Amino acid sequence: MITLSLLAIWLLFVLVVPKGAVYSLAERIRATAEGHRVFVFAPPAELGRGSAVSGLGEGIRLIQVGLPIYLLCLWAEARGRRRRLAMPPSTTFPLAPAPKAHPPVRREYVLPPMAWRREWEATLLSRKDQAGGQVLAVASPPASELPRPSSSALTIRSLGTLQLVCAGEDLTSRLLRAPTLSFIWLFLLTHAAARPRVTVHRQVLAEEAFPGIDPEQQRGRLRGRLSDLQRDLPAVLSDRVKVDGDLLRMDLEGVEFDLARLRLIADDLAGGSGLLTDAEIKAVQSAIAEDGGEYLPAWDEVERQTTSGRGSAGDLVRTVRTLADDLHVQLLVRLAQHYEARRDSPQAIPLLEEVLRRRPEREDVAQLLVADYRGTGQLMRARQLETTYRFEAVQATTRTE
Amino acid sequence: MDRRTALQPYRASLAASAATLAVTVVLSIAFWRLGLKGHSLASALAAGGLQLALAAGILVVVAAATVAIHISVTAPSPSVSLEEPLLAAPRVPAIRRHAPFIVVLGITPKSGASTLACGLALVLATQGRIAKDPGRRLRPLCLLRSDDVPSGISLDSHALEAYLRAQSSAVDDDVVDLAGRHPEGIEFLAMGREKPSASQLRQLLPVLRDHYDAIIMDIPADDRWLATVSAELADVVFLMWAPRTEDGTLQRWVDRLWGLGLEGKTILTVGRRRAAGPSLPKHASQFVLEIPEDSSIRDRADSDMAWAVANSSAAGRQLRQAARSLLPDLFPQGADAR
Repeated sequence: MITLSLLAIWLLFVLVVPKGAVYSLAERIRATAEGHRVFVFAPPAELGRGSAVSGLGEGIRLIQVGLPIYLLCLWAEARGRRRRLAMPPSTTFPLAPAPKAHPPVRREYVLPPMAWRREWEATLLSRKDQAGGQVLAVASPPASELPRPSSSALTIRSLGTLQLVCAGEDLTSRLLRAPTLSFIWLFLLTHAAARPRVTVHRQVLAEEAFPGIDPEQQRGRLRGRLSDLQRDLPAVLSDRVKVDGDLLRMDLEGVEFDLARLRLIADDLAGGSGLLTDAEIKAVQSAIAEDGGEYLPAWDEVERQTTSGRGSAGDLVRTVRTLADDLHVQLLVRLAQHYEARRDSPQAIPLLEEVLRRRPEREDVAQLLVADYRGTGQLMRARQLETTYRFEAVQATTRTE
Repeated sequence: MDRRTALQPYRASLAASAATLAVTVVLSIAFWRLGLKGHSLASALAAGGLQLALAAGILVVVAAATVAIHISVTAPSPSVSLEEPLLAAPRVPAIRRHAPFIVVLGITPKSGASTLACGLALVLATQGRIAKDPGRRLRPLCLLRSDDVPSGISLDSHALEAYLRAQSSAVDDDVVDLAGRHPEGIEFLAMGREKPSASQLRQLLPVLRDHYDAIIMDIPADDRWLATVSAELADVVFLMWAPRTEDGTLQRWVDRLWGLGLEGKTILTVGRRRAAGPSLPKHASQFVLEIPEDSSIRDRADSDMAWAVANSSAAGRQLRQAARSLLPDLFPQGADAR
């Protein structure tokens, strides 16, 4: 009977008491239940084939940890297995891979930058005034070719800068002096640029200008700021804001607005792909040279001072920035197509390079550029470009398959 | 697998069971031979014999039934035949530098430095985003030895060397044209036979930072001079070591980098972990990452880095978790967190 008792005690020890890795048990069970491990300890010993031998392997596993913990291990392993089955075999990536990096192409101006020309014209104008009306010869295109608004009209330069000029006077600082008024005026301008002739509801503007407060308060404050706008801003700026009941809009009639001009030229030329007339070439070249950078670079500071970026006005500005960039690329491509039609590759190459720098995904432009490089004997550059874009083409084919 | 290997993980518990059985037998003989039947312990054992035997019998039946049910309803796992190492969660700092420069330094041969560098680049290229522009995937650059560039990448392995020789005074943006592109958006540059000098590396880095979101450089430890210069410029240094070569090399390298007196640097030791291997020495560094010995890495084809993003790979999971903690700015909220 004593022997039987001792054997029973031994059996209880073997079947209940864990015999290894007790300190790491909690960590192992957690990792297994989360699916990071397949087994809490080692896999069952593979001693051979058949149910009896498999049972022996599992029995050894049971002896290692004891029955209570063995049951816990089985639960953790089953849970981990379910978690792993629920995972996809590999993570899926909804976005396309990043395109190849390219060095920026240095811009080669076909016309001097418009800012220089304006500066020169202003100098000539001042000399003319000083000379008492004596007319100086100006080496600029005839007025018929580049239509200009009257000197008393408002000129808005928004690409790469913010400049509001009327009758030779720069009104920009007058606008930017009051951040909230600047916000309202520039928001309406941007809205007009994004959606010409579409009005903005008063509540929408109030929500953008004074986010996070009671709607009644928003409307009250907006009313006050619109009143300030009429009083504090020069008439040439305040008159542009048209209020019709609850609807507001920026009236750009008779205003020289660089973005609107860019859009007009791009829309006019969107249909064709062949030769351009001399007037059209000058218009396109002028619009390309006039593009000094992104739309309203001062916006971020105005928005930070006014709303700390809490509204969605920033998204609207970013949309117009993208639009301006698209229009610019459109004009570059159109001018390049003109030179391609004339078989004037040296003129087309810098334009196509600029397009490719801005839009590396334009494989059609890359193909044109490769042909132009080959045509002008720049074989190394052509090969480099071919290597890059052929690679991406192969990749696209593979993905399709 | 032979029986001895199969029983290896259970050796200790089987030995303990056998030893206690032996003790039981010896005690039993001792009670019988020494005539201790009148002893109070013997009386207690004799009195409780039936109850103990009943309890043990019930336990045996329950255990046998559990094992029988388990093996009949659960298929054996074909994916795991060896014990998996118990991995500690990666202890890594957060690096918040724009276009971080990561140096992976293989301090022992075959420590997996190139594999880890490529894997990390793949994780960044596929799962990384920039908070300002979450609609775009990252474009990392891997700067490797010529022999380590995965096959299938269109790349002239001597181009960078020739370029740096020709551009004695300055490195310009044209250098990015020399990089070869992997279909997932990673770009590779081979260092060539003559590795870049200190001044060339100093000039190269700002240019690369302009065009890439992360720069990962894999260098061998045999070029100590290049390793030192790279560590000076790096935001984080991965010291790759293999556990089976624990001979003080890791400690020497940690001391050497510490001795440079650089401030604001993070040295992260990365060890390959086997189940039976010793745990990482805790004194060696504050930041550690353990990568398990993984057959999906060992058996990979040369150009296959998929283990890094496959959910079934324990090594990939560790690497992804470490990358997310190390470079939080490149894994903004909302990106895939698996």
